[in-house]
Amino acid sequence: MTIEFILNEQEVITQADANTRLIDILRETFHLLEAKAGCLIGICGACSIIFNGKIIKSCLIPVFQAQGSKIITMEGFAQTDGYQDILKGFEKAGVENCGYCETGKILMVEAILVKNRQPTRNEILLGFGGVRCRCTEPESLVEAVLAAADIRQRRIYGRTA
Amino acid sequence: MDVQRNQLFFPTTFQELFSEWTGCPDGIPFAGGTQLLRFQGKWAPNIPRNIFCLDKLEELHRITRTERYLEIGAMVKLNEIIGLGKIVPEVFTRCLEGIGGLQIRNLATIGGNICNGSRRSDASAPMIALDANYELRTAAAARWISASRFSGHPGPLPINPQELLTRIRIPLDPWDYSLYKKFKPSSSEEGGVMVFIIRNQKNILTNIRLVFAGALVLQDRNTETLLIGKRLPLDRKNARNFVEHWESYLSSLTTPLDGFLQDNIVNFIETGLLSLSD
Repeated sequence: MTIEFILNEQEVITQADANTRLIDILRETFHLLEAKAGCLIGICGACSIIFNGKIIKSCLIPVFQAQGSKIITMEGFAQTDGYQDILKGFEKAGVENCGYCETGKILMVEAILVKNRQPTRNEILLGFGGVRCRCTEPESLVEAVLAAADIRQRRIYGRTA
Repeated sequence: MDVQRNQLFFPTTFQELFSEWTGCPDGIPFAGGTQLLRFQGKWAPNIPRNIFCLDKLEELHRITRTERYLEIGAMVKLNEIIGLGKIVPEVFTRCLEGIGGLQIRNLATIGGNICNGSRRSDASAPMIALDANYELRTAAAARWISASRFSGHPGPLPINPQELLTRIRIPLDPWDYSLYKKFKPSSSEEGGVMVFIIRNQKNILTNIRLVFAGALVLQDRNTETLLIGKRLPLDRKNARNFVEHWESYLSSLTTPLDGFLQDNIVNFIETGLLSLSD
């Protein structure tokens, strides 16, 4: 089948078998390797992408569901100022990512900050429930998200809230 | 390439859907899709041959609120319902927050959760407790069915071939206290969701609902009436009596629950009643 969608702000058309996962198309057809094919059962969050403005797990999406959608992968998100805010927040909190869970974590921070620009500790921990990470302590993640929120506030409004 | 194998339909109206469905009676409606790929492991997923993607059906994405009801289209995502805030009954919101992670809730739909036939879904317990009704539609007609009739009995769901869950209607009656718990045993799929809601007027209990939904749906209306009319805070003797009735109800089940669930259900009821006792 032919599938058309917008991938990292570019219109793309591809041919794929209907029973292909979106993660496989992103990695094998478009060579976007930041989304990892981890558990493939929707648990680890390593395959996270932004799908129509919402963070989702691309291993749970059959490719036909992507028809007409807008997809942003980590490669696309890395071109934005929002990514820089998060990266600086991680640096400030001394959080280093292992590579496996990095995509899921960074996109999850973005999802949390889009929902609430001053998230609570509880909201942050609940959000990270969808990302399996064994390289960073939850408290360091909370610190990193709060730092990223602060950096973003300064960038956008020139002050913290 | 397996291009010939799957046939995909993207209907934009009910008329289109049902006319295509008549021509392709083995077609499967596709909502969020989270359940479809979740348990298929690492191989190329096996998807139904004929699929009706419901995403383009505008009506299934609608949310409306009247004075008495909240009506939610079957294709509304779980996170969209959570995002509605305080108009959604608290016990329902808490239950939805307990489903998957943020990424799953951004994909999964309420209709998909309710119609997932492999077990009674997470949403079933609050829906039954809140007296929700579901609209089921065919090419010819629409009918309403209560959540307790839809999900409350063992066996296949009472949905006919080529019939679609289109709307969920939740009464907006105020509930004064709610408790929710998801039981997740580590080794098997045998878990469930339990909800406890009460309403009181001038410190008199006027309504109480206690529902468990897992492999079975458990609700003992006779025991619920034991506490109606009692004054709050509850007398410990009445609370104990209520727990004992539930214990005997659980032990009278023809298909007994495993020990893990039985203990957790009793603990849950005790916790709920303790917070209402003196």
